[in-house]
Amino acid sequence: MPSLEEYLSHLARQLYLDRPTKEKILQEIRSHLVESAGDFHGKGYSPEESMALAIARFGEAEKVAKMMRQVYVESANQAVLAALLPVALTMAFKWVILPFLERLGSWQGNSTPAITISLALLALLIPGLTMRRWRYGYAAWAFFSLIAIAQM
Amino acid sequence: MTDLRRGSTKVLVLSLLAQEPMYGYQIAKELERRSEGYFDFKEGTLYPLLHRMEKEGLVKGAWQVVEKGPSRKYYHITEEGERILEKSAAEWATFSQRLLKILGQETEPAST
Repeated sequence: MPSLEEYLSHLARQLYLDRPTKEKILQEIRSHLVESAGDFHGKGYSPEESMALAIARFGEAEKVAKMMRQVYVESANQAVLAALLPVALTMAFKWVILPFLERLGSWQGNSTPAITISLALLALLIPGLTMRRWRYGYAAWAFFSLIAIAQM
Repeated sequence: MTDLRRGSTKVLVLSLLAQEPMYGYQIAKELERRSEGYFDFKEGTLYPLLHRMEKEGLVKGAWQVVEKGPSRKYYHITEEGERILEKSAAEWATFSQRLLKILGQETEPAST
């Protein structure tokens, strides 16, 4: 059975998350295992046996890391989708809706660039308002925006 | 643990947190104590659940410094969590009543 440090390093290697998130998760798990081992020690087990029992009750590092990854990867995927949405809307507005309105003859305004920029700025609110992990949202938004600008 | 019991962990954790803020190890111990070992699970599976619920806005975690020993992250239930708990508890009550009825072991509803 691995020691506490070995178990946590093994878990850390399997997490594949950004450093601050990983450190918070490991801190929480360390706290759990230390307290759990303390309880076993209070029942008469040696410190090594206590930590081994605490780790056994906690579960395999691979399984815990996999479940934790799923929580955070799902969230990051949602952030990317939310970030893609405003850019996709802006592009659809510029290339699909405006040309369609112009063809119908019902649109008399100037289609570029003020309207597109205003719409893009308004759409900027979407990733920030919908994503709890707003940094991912804005990072992905910036990425898709650069692609959109390059296409214009 | 069966799928049925596994599926109920979320509502059990929310119901504990509705009574008082708790940290992960405390939640694991309380679940074990109150269910007399029936809801036995690998304690490590509790943290992905707590983090998922935190992302969904059902609970909110806050670190608290402890004099002796490592800091603990206490989880508080949010208003959204209370709403989900109420809804899930009602669903589980209906489920268990219907099941007992089919099994012919219907119990009298508790008088209020």
